[in-house]
Amino acid sequence: MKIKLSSKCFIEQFEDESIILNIETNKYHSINDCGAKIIDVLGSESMSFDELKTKIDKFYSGLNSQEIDTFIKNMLDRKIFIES
Amino acid sequence: MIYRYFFSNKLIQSDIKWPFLPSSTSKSTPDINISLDKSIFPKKDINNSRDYYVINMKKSIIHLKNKAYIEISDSGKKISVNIFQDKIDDTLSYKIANQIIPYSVYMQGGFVLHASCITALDGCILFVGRSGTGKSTLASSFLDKKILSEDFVSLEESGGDYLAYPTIPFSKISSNIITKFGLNNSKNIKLDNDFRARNLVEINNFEHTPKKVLHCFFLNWGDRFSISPLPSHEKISHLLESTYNAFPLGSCPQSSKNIFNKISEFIRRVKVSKIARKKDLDFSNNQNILDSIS
Repeated sequence: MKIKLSSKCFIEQFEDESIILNIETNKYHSINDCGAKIIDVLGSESMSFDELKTKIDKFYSGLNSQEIDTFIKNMLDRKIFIES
Repeated sequence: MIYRYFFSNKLIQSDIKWPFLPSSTSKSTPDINISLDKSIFPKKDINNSRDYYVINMKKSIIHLKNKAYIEISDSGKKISVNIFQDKIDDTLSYKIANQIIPYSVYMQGGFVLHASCITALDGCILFVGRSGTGKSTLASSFLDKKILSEDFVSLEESGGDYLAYPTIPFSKISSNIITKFGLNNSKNIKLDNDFRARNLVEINNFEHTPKKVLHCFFLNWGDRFSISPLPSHEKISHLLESTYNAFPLGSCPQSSKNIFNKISEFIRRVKVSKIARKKDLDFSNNQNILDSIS
């Protein structure tokens, strides 16, 4: 399964946090630093879990693997990441 | 007869005389046309027992119970009004100025907030907050400052700053505040159906020129006076509640996206803080508010 950022989501980055608006659900989400890094790596691409994790390790070593899994699952539940 | 007005940085043309709107002699193409249309009525299936609003960027409808039915179309440029009473009363005229025109500005892509605005230093400050948090009262308590707008403020980006545009020189406040501050009571207008029985009072010290926004304060009640910073998500949340936006909220995805962009830009450029204060008429901390402006 590959995942990508939903085209219905818009991200704004601020000094203290990143905020995502999902216009499909009309909900706003505050994203922590780890999440912002994962979204930054994913960008507009479509990737498998493994590809995404490899890339995250490459750019941001030190992120907790379990934290990444939990974040991705959360994003899928909230329709911010979608299957592609 | 055609009337022309200049209000909140918009040139308005109408075949109806609106008492609260400031006249204009400009011959330019109007930004907003307001016309009487006796052929439009609310749909029969809507609840006619109270005011009714459906707002989005394409077409908005507003039914002011027993007063008027209003449609805003053509991306906010056209306002059609069917008036259900013999003459235009102050409440309807006030609502045209402070509700209908702001919605029209929003539909044209403008950024409009429910806020009170006073002059400070070389610019102005905004007081934003839910209904009943004392925005108008606090603004009126700065007796040596001018009021630039009441109830709503239209903001436009200009060279990296935000300009706030003056609205109408009337404030919606309760009679005990009028007495406390010794405000001008000569033109005191009673509004129909105002749930806090407030009156409209003409503002003597009104600022007629747009000013740069220096700071935006969210008002809230608390145990004691404090001014504190806010995380970005709270700034966005508070501003969303205060923005002229689609109604029901979230019913127009295009609008949600536009407002998100506008609010994000605003909080990057304008300092936003929270003021907590006791629910009383003590304004001894007003100087602290002015001192906190950066």
